[in-house]
Amino acid sequence: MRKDIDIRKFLANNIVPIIFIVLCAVCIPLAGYSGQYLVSQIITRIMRNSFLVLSLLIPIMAGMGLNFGMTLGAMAGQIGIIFITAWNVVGIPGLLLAAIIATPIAALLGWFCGKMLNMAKGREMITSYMISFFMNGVYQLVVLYGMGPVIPLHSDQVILPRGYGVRNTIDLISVRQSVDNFWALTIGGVKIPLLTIILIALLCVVIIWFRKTKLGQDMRAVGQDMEVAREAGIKVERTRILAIVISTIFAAYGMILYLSNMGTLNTYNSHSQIGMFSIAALLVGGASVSRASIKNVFLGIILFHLMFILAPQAGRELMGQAQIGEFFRVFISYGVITLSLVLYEIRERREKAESAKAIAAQQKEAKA
Amino acid sequence: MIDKKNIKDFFNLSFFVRLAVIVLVILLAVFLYHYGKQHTVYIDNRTIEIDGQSYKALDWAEVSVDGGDSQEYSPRTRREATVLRQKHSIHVVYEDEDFNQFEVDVEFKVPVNETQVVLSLPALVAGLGEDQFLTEFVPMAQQLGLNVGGGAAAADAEVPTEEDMFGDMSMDF
Repeated sequence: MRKDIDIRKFLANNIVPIIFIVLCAVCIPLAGYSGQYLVSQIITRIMRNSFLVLSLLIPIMAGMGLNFGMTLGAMAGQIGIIFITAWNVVGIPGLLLAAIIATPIAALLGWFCGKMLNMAKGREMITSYMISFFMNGVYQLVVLYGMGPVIPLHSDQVILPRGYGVRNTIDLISVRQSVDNFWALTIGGVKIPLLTIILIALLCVVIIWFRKTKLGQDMRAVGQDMEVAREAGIKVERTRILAIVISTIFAAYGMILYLSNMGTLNTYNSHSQIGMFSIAALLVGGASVSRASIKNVFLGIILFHLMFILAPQAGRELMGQAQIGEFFRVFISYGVITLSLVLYEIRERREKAESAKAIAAQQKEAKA
Repeated sequence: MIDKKNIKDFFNLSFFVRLAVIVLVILLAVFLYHYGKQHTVYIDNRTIEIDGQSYKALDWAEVSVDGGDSQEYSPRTRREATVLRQKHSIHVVYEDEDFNQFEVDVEFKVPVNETQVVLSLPALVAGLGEDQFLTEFVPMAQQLGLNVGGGAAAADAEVPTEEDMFGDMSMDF
């Protein structure tokens, strides 16, 4: 009997990864890709996206839910990349310079986002989502009209022929895979980019260490109960702002790594869905709005990206059209976010109802 | 008195530590800019006129930049060398009309803000100064005063649309 309940609980807590594992298990034989190809693709995508997805962990720790505002960090990263491309600063020094340029922009945007989220406590996710849309407009304005006449950039590679505004697509050949290729091994035909792995591992260590620091403990306390944390003397608002600032800065670095891996910048839409994709990947890994760990990040990226790789080919094999597989993947991506949010709400309500029942029973006992 | 105390509180040790970190990061950024900046040097073997004097294109030359592979140059040849940072060396072996061979080693510095420069071989082997053998690269269309990239060309240029600005989930990740 007890075992049944445990299995049910396990299934309820891990329903999203289980669905994805089943889907991937069905799609792998249908797609017909070789194991080596799949491993190589998964490694590439882990290297490309881990930093972005890891940046979501700190706001969850601080009880602020999924930070859709990470798009702001992605915009800051893109601005750094635009500058170094216009200045023709190449390779790893170029990426480091992009990170230095992006840091104050990301910190400023993160501070703004944190301030806004403090004004909308309890509605952080929808607020951060709307802030990312709002800031997207500001970004478009700066990049489309400000760059050239106001912000002096004169590179033909970056600026449109009319003299202002950044081109739709910028070729990042000068920084493409410079981190991945700096120190790489090839094992069984699969490229292992060691420097990128070290950077990602370093971020994981920083996150684990950060949880044990005073600020990390404060964030956990704020995440559990804001009022109790305030009573304990923790500056709740400041802690929440710092969580968002750190997340936004990590997102900026993540975007720089992502773009250097891709080798192309779509100036006006590279960042627009980054938040959605990263959040979907994290949720696929079994994370929830209030609980996420490093293992959720990696499991999520592997499963989510396996679907990215398999879906078009599986769609082609099944229906004769790759586009059908793509539609399926898009539907799954949005669907997984919805499912996670609904499951979280159900769990929250159930826990509240159970605690209310327990209190009522206690009161009844006391009266008797 | 209160103001003095406030000022003292403001300029405490952590203020100076933060200031030092900011200054260090700015210095690192400046260093990275110089260290990672890529320049394209167009090595040009054409007859050139400087200050009213003509310098004839070399009949034959072999050029290597920063100890790299040598490349042969005949008259009216222009090749590009992509270099990092500002200071570079060039090694030129050339022949005069009587087939006598000469070697020249010169160090030069590309201006930091110039992404593309033209290095004139005839001016270099004639022993002219860096400011004379190294000039800014101006595209031919611009030299001729053609409005390339402006007018109709600019109107036809790909300008972002709403679709570009608000992508959807079907993009790759």
